[in-house]
Amino acid sequence: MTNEKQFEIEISTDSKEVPQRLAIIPERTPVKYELEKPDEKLVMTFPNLIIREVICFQLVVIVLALISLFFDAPLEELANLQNTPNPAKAPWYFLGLQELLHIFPPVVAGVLIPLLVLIALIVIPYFDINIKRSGLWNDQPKKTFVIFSSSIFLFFLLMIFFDAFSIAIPTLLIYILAVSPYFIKKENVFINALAHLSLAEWIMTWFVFVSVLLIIIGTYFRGPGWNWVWP
Amino acid sequence: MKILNNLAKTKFWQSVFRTKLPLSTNLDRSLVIFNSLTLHIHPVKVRLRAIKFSYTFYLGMISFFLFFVLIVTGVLLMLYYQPAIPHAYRNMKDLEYVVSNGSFLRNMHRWSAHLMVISVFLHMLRVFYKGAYKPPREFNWIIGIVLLVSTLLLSYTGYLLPYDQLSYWAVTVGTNIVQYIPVAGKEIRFLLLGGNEIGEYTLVRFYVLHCVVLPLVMILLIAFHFWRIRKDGGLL
Amino acid sequence: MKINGLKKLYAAVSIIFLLTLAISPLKNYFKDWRDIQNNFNETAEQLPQKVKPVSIGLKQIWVRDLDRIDRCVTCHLGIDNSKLETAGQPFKQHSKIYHDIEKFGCTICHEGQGLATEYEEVHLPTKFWDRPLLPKKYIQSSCGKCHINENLNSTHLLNFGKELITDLNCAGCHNIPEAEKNFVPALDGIGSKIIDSNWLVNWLKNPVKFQPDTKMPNFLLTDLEAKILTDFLLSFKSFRNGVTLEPLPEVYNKNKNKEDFITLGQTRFREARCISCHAIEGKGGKLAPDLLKIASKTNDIWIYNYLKNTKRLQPEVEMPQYGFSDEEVAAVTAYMVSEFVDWDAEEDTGSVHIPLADFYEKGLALFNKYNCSGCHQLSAKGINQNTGPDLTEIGSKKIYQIDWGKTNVTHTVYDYIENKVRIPREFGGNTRMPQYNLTKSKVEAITAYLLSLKEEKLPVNFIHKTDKKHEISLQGEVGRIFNKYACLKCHSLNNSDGAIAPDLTIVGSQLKTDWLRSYFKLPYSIRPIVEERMPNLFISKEEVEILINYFNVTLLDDSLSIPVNWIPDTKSEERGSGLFFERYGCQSCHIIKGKGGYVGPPLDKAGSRLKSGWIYNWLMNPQKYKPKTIEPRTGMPIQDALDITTFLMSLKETD
Repeated sequence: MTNEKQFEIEISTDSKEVPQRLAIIPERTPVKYELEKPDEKLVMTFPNLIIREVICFQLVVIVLALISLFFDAPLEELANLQNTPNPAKAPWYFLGLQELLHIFPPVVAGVLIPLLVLIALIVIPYFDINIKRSGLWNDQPKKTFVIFSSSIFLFFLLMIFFDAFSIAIPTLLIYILAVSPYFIKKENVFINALAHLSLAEWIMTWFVFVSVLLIIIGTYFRGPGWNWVWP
Repeated sequence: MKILNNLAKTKFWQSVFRTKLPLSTNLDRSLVIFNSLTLHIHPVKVRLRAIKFSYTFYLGMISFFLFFVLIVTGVLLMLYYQPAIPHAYRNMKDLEYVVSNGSFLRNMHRWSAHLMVISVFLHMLRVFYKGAYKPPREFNWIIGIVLLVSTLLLSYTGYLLPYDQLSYWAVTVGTNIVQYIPVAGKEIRFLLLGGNEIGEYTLVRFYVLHCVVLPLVMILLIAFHFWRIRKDGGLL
Repeated sequence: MKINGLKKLYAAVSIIFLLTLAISPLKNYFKDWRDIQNNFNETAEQLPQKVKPVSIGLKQIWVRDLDRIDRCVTCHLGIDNSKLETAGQPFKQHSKIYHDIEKFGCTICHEGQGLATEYEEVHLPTKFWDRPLLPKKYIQSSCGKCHINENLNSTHLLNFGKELITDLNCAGCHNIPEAEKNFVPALDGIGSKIIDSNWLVNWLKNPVKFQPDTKMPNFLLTDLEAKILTDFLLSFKSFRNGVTLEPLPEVYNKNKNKEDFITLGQTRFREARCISCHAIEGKGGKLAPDLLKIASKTNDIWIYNYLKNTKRLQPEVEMPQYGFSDEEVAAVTAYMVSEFVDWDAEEDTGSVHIPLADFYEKGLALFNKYNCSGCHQLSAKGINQNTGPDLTEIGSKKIYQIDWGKTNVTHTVYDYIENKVRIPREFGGNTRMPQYNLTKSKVEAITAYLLSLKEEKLPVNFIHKTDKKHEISLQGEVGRIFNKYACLKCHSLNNSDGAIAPDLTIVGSQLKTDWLRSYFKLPYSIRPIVEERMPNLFISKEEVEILINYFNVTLLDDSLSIPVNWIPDTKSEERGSGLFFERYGCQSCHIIKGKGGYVGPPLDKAGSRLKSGWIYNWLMNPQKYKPKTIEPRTGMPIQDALDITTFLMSLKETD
């Protein structure tokens, strides 16, 4: 922000001569009211977009056909109530959830967490206070650091309490990445990129990282009795 | 090209497509979009930046095409499928050994389903990181979330249909979670399974959900999703 | 990207797109079965016997009743083509069977994955199909799924397996359908029978060492276990129902070492034909234990008591009780004690054996652990049945239900059963099953029978079940005599068990009273080439009369009468003689007047032995009375039969 003064303050007791006005100058314009740049280049949909769509479709089909030619969909023996496989695994996209189920009590892992995630995802557009997405360390870095670190620390302890190392450790990693711009003042591309990420983006990154990790663990690292195995 | 041009001049062509070839002016090109039911969800002009691959990675588009492949292969698979025990499993064996290209069909369906889960999720991430959910697109984001959930449900309901060990126990694990829902967990599970255990009724229920209810929901929501993209001023 | 670049990309991608769509179905086209069918058609053209080529396409047999679809015929194209009898697989004609392939399909017998059309999936055990093609040696097990208890001629392995299962008393520990429990000696009073506790210890540790043909398996006991169990068993001195041993008679004690007394015993032993059932050093019958070393195991007082009244000591035993006098019994005892000694036995060291303090409790625990009561009866408190797994559906046991231990046995049910029968403890764990001393063919027979015990429910019209032969229980005095002499162990009566000696159901209509009387006195072998003959049971005169009376009153067939127009005159006799020798050539099988064949029984003295009605009816239709007899049914005219009867009836005993 520039420190250059754009206006002067007149002070007088005579209100008629110098009428007092209150001017509220927002620091930034909300995105909602930002006009689309009028000078952006427009092209005809046909053929510019249509051709891209067709190519995209063709590529999708080609890739699918090739995968289908070389990899067969799994088919095991007929379902048998008596024969419980160990472990019984959900489809891969629910394995993260199953991993959570192993860590937390079922009501928490099976109902509460998915519900919270869903709600969190839904409310993102309505609760995004930091609409401009300024980086995490832009304002009051010290205060941010204390609050951020202590809340992560509490969360970390909670996870350790539940023996949820598969969540605690990735959380720690993300935390280290998130606070690195606070400590490392050196300018480089990587640090700059990290410094630009807002809190919301950090949370999302953490969420994606943890869920992908849990899915990978559930898929490849869990054997009989949901014990840790190497693939 | 010449044949195509001549063909385009016939009355029949024009009665169908209402577009004259060759497309020499921008008006003609606009009319292609305008006059077509399938294409008219597009605007006639788009921002060049918005249609670049690096801007969206075409993830929404890919998801939609995967969905399209799923519908086509799914309808073909329905021709060979009976939601009954043990016929369902035997149908899988028939697809594998007897039906021409049966296993290819099933592979296509299976892998596109998995890929669709991935691409829809990536699409959501792209939208989030690009901030494309911001006002006035808040509601379209919610539609997107519902679409993500429907995708998962579609994939999950389809998982049971082969009725092999893999599907049976995967669905057992999943539906066991349902019973932990406070107050009405057991009842919801009963409703879902059509009984206390996975059986013939579960198969029928999952089949109806997978082949009728969820695809319909999906199609309606996709249409709405696309419509909102335009109304909210976005261009793909 | 510029629109021109995009157009080029579009062109390129379109070509790949169309190519991909074009080649995708090829995979389906290059399936193995198509090659095999083409191969068939090519070879068919070259064959001299003109085999019709087949149309290319999947073929299957749908058996509606069994809800089975078998696609085996897609490749096995010559199954019902007699021209391809000598072709190689997969085109060979199916060997001769009694079933219509269209009605039964393939997998009902052969197992394997009938739905599949790829070699490995169909024939071999794969990850998700654990019922691979049955090996040829076990194919008979599938016969047993429908033909229950039928003992068909073509299922010898299966029949043998079932026989072995009964013989080895598998039903003692396992629930096996249709298997019967066999007689095993009760252990009550064993403490009064066994001479030396060391003998029992050694016996328990390895029964085969003492008696190679024993049915008792080896429980692989440790030394300590064997000793504890010995002490436990030897503590049972009294027999069931409070029976105690009678003391040896004076005559035994006085004469036991005298030669002519022993010779008397030996004579009685021979006359009674003990070796019909008991082998001695492997020679003789297999029905009862080998007697070679009996005197080193059993004391004389037990032998004496047992011979005197077998069922007093072993109420269920099938050994007949001979009608010896006390002196004769004593003599036989003396003979056995002097003769059947184990000369290899270790010398009794004379050291006093001191049982462990808590041998009884520990012994009882061991007795229960190894389920000794599954076979042996013992009247003691605290004995409970501790049976092994139920084998009712063993043939359908799923691979995942099997604990394979550390073995590297192929994971199939038949390999499992085979190895389990062969070396029961091979799969580790806490298996208690003892080790049997079985040859390979016996293991396979048992495996085949066990494999036939399936879970699957077959339609009722497929099942052919022969009911169990029912036990005959005769009442009153006759019943007592039948039981005492164990007649039905060898003879059958109204479809009862015995299969060694002739059926007695209509004996009263077959045999003459006087002949029977003399036969009971001194049984002999009717057929000179058959070594087995009825032992001399020393049945008392009164008992013989009761039996003969019973035969003549009850064991009759009223239809076995001779037509009233039978006139046994000389003319008829001469004609019959002519027919016998000239027309029907009966002497080729039957001995008559000292000459003739050895296949049938001699007819020298037929007139003294057989009743005329029986001869006549037998001649008319032998198979009616003995379905498996080889005597031809000649379809002779009534008059011929009557004349031959006259002729045979004229052949009387001369003296």
